Amino acid sequence: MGALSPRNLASRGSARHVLEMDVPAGRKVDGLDPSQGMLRAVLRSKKAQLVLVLLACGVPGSAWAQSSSSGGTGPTVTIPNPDTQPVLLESDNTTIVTRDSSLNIRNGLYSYDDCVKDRRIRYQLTNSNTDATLPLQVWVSQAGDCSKGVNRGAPYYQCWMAQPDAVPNTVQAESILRLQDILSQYSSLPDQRVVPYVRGTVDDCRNLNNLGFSIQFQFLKSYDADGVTATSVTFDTVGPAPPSGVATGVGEQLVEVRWNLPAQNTDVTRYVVYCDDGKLEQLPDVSSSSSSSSSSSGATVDDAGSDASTSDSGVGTQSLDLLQDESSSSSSGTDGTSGTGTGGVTAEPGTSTACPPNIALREGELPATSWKPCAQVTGGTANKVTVTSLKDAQGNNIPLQNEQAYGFAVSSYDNLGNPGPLSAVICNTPVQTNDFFDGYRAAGGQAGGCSTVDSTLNSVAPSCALGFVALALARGVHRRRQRRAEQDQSR
Amino acid sequence: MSRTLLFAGSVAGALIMLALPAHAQSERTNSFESPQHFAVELRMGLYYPKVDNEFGGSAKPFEDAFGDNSRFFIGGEFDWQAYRIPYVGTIGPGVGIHYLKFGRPALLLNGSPSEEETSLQIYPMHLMAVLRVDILMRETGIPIVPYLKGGFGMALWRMSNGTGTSEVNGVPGKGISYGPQFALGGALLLDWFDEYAARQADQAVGINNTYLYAEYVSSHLDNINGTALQVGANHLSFGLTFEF
Repeated sequence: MGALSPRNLASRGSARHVLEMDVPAGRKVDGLDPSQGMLRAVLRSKKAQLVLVLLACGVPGSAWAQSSSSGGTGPTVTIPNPDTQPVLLESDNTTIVTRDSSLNIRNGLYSYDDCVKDRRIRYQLTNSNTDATLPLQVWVSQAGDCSKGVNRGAPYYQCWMAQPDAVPNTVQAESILRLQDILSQYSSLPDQRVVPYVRGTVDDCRNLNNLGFSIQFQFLKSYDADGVTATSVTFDTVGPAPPSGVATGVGEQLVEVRWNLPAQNTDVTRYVVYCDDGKLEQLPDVSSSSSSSSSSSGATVDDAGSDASTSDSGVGTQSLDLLQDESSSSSSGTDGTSGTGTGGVTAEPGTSTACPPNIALREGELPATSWKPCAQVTGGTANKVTVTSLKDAQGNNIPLQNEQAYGFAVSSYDNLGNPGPLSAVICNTPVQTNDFFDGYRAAGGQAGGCSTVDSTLNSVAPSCALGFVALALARGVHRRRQRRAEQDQSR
Repeated sequence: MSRTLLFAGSVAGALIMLALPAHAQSERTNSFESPQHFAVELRMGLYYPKVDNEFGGSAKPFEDAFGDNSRFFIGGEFDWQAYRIPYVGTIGPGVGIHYLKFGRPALLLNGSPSEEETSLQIYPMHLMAVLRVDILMRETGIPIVPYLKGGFGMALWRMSNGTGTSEVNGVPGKGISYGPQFALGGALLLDWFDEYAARQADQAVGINNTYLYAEYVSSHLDNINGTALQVGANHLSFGLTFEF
């Protein structure tokens, strides 16, 4: 679709007369172009100007008369029940995303997860327009008034289109916007926004720290649009800083991962531990491979994965300073352990551990959405977790093995589900231990092997409840007999 | 097993109560007292099981793993004062359950502690006859009630490590130990210190008497076949008793 593609763009001269000119698709459009000879002649004539003003004011069908939304005579588009709109949809345009109400996420606030999963927002509009030739378009800006032609094109280029096609011209119109499309030209310089609509990709999801965008629905026929209704959405895609002081300790087929809590309050709602046995990067990216039609949720940590010109590319890598939430950046710190290896990967001191080959975890990078956490703890106050297994591509638990090296890194998540960059990567190896039962059996003890303990324990509570019910019943019967005896006595 | 025992105890107690309806009320000393048939104990104390007794001094795997310090336990007991023995006190069945846990880091092969915890969880339970000699308190006002308990003790136990229940050669580290159990104790009537509050408690919620108790418990949970983990203990217990 070309720049300001409506066939005619209206210039606005002092006469406020609608002037039409054809604009090739993709060409920059300057605002007023009074260079055409006939036009200039007309405008120079004060009488003609006066006549044209009168004409413009007196002719109800003129475009300008329609353009004033405040005049109340032009077409209008409204958003009924704005408190409940927009509705967040999955990438199938149908399934409604239900957020955890306990997180108290306000409507119109979207996360990294929403964006990389190519979610959509749906507006249901009330449209008064009956002119089928008058397109209802959706424009986006951070601050600009998209009803002004100078903001939709040259010289300011403040706005871009959130969907390529006009909204269907029906009374109950529906507009479904890709979140990635809303962001598609945010990071472009104004003079790079030559083409009004550019399809957004997962690359557009990054590094948006509580940024608001204005969604503007408007009828576009003249240079200045008509019937404008604006609403806003906000993106917060930046996760908290990673925890500092990540360290590990080993046991038999387990590794305990611990970290320091930040000194100040942050918006961390959970810590997620990623484990790498050297095969993490081999996990298939299920989310991206299943939806090739849209940019979607593919995420990799491939250093070469972030080509902005390629839709459907992975999230790619980001440096720590770009990714961490400003509000919590001071809580980040360096890992307190020694023995830092290459690439920010650290072998735990005091063990024979080396990191597994082909380790994919990298300090400061975002965890790929295809990675499955091996452990997580909710609440921002937990500072350790015991890892006993990691997950394969199908999500099955694979127990940790003794004498096999694993890498571990922690990412902080906020209440929107935004992941922060990975902490320092620590490697360690589970080893055999002696627990009490080992010692007891080694000393010659014979106890153990009772398989009924669990079921017996589970039956204790119901047994107690049953006992109390029986007692209460007995007491009730006893009291009844007593009352009956007292009644008999009184007779 | 415990379900069967508890249920049987409850049913047996209910039958006794139905057969002896009026005895428990016959010696009420105060006109404002509500009927009294039950007692509840909130129990706590320190516990050190006799696991190492199994080895006769040749080995101390329990002490090696967890040290020689006792651990705190909490629990409760429910007594049915099914029958009042004239000029003696009440007698009836009582059931109790407790919980305690020993835990320490498992050791690496070089003897240093690992990050893995090894633990022994014990759920001691009992079903005992409880004789509370409250005649002194009722007849003379001395606020002391001695009591005696005797019966059957049982404990469920489980040894755990970082991945769940411990196993050695496919044998899971969990089981049941049982044996005889006795207790001797005394209870101090707290109503004696504030009779008005005691009367209010009775009128409001039906609590007749409140005691602070201490008792010595001896449990010999070594099973009949002798292969049990000897998680019984000789220990002190203290807490509060409410009669209602």
